[in-house]
Amino acid sequence: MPTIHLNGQEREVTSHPDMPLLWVVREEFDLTGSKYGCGHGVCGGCVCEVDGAQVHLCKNTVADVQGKKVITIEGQEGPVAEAVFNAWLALDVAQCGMCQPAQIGSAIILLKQNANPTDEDIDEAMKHNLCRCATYHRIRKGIHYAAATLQRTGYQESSSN
Amino acid sequence: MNTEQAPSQDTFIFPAEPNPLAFITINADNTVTVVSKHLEMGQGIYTGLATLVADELDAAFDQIRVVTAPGQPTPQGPYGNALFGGIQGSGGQTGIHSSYMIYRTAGAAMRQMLLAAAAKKLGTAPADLRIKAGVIADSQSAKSLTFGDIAAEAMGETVPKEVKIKDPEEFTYIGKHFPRLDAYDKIHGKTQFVQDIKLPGMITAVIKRPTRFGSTVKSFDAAETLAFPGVRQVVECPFGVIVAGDNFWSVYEGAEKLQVEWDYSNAYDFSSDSIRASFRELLKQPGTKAIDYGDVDTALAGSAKKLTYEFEVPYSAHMPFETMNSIMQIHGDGTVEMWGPSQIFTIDGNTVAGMMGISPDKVKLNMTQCGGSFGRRSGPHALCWVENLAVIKALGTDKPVKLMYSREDDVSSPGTVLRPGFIHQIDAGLDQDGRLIAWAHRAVGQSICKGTAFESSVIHDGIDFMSVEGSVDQPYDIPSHRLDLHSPELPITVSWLRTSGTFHNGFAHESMIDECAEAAGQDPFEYRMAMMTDDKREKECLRLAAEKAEWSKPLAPGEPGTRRGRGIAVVPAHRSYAACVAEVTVFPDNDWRIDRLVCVMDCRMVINPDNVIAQMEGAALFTLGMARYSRITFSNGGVDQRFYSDVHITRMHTSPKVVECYIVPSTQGPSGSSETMGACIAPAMGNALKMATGERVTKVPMMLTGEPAEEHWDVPAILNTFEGALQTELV
Repeated sequence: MPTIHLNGQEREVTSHPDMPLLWVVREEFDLTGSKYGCGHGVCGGCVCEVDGAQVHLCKNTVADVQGKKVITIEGQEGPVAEAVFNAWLALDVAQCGMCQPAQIGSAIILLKQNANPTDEDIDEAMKHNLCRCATYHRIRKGIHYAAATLQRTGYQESSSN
Repeated sequence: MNTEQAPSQDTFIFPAEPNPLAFITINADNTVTVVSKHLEMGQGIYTGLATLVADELDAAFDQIRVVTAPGQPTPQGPYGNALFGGIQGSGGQTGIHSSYMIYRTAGAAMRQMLLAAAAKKLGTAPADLRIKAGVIADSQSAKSLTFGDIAAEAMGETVPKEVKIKDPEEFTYIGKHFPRLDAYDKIHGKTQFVQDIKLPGMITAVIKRPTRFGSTVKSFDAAETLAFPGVRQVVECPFGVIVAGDNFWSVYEGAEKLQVEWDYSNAYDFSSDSIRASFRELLKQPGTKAIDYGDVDTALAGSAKKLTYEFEVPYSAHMPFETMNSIMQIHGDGTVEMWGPSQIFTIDGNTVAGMMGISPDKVKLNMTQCGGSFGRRSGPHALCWVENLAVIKALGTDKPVKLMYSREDDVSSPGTVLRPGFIHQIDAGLDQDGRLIAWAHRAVGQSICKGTAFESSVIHDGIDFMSVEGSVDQPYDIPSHRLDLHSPELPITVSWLRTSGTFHNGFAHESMIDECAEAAGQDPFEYRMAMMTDDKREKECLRLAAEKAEWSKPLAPGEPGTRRGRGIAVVPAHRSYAACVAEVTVFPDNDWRIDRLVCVMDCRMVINPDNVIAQMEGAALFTLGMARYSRITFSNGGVDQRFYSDVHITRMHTSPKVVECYIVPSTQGPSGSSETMGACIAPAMGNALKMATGERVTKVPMMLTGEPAEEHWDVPAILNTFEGALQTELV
């Protein structure tokens, strides 16, 4: 039986092999923080961390992520994730909230690679994540806020998380 | 939507008497449950209403919980919206405006009940008790109680007929800070939207829909669809062919494989070109008058300077992040149960009841939050629920059915709902001194309210207020002024979309005012200020925006080779008022960027300043995209666009880096804050472009002549950074 390394655990998968990961995590594993917004890699509502990169779950299958570590919003933890979650709460970034798990996933990936991003770095890293409530201004502030937290606590990109 | 015509008085809506038990429950675990009579769509209404209650109770913010009110099928009951004629509904930024005193008096009444219960328990007088952060303390002794200690007793106290609400200086949260109560669940992906709900035995369904409006099913071949894993049933219904099965992926992919032959004999063949041509024909004929004073034709004829502009704004799609969806079940006893968000439940519930032939109280709604709406779920047509009922009947099932719209269904099927497109023509006349003496404005576009339950309350003397809002209530003194309207009927379902009519009216009106200022050789800020009497609330918005943007100082130059511009605009919208100064940079190839937005709003009293600012930011950036990028076009009787990649909305990299928001202070009753800021963004940007380039942009999407094609607005829909991943080839 195929398996997937999901949120730190190797899990057996019974879903149809052609089923996109988005629906595998939502239907089989009840991880509904990754959202359907278009199913075509346009809206970014299902963007998650796979081996440290942004990946649309709707455009990949279990076979595509063999040997890779998939982290959905439900599995995000560690100093960077904490800094981002706290920033999002401190600034009340979310409005309808539907895109925010994916926004946060992308923000965590960015900060793990670049703990002190510029506005231009944020533009580049976040341009795949749409927000129809248009909370972009606070997402940007949230990333800077989290980066400031990480600077203050001495976080280094090279550290294990 | 805005069901009243811009009242300027201090309008509180007072309940007949306080009704704390309908809105507040004190629980034994020391939590306080606040019942929201409005739908949470992201606008922060849960937190806003909770703030009012928490303040009157002096509760601690972390003991407050919010639940949604049960669906109320008739105007009789506590959860109606006075601005919607008493039916239960949310929209048009009416939530706080209509519910402000209802929740404050409920909170004040519950406070009295808590104090009465506490006094009995402590053997003291209510007057000796003080409440701070959810703790009731006896000032005469060291004794104290929590709300939870006397929950049952307080809930059982006699409800007072009259209450004293707090004086503003006693506020603990109102006008200060109260964090969003829904934030934690949302950022952790725990909030349950319809797509996340699983019920025992639930069937998931999509409808394979035609692309041309007016098409019907002639025949279909379901062999491949039924062979797809997880597909269980393929059945025709009035809206297309239902594909039902185990999960969305199965039914979506199954529907893709369905071979449908459509009957186009009654299908439409309208296009954006044909609509535009018919609208422009109407521009030549007088319409129904909304404003007519002075002698416009004589004044225009005698003007020293005459200007004529035509402004065109296309149809626009709401495209909330959550596509339309609903869950419904017909129970064995004939009652109907619904799960999902409803912006106007009384209409949705009554429509379903009528179709079922049952009384409205046999329809139960389990209201969820929704992943944005912007008016999409307010359609007075109850479409998503009507369709779900048709699906259930066609499937012949007693199980719950989750009807999902794909993004394509949401945007481009005949099931779509759009903000109507408009063409405006404005003729203005100035005297020798540049004063605006004549203004003739003709608007052409579909009426939202005609033929709906809102017709009688919104359409007066042939004028749908929502077609002319932002123009009919414009703030300037113009001696001769005419505004007339054509409301052509088309087979396109139209509805409110965040800012609604104020978006296109604001764009046309405030662009034209700038042209007048230029023709008069005057500063556009000073020109506007001189035309407003002091009682106009727009005036302070405009003054504050100019001050904060340092309008009196020259605009800083941009990078070498670029041109910069700065524009100002002010538009009244939905009982509140907003002004914006926009700064733009235009690059050598005529591509352009919005550098800075200075936003000012007067929504009278502010309950949650941070949330109001969030709504200002959201409305500004939402409409920035709607003005700069978005449009819906038609060809051969269908919608041309399907996804965010061809409609285009604001993204992170197309958002301005600087967005500043300022609130005009007021102690009058709150008038609503989630849409107003959007109405003046497009004209402020257009006015900035005019300064930078000399070109007046008269159309949305706002593009300069020669500007690069729109492909650069978007990003490739491919994100995978490792081998073996699927690649998107989305056109």
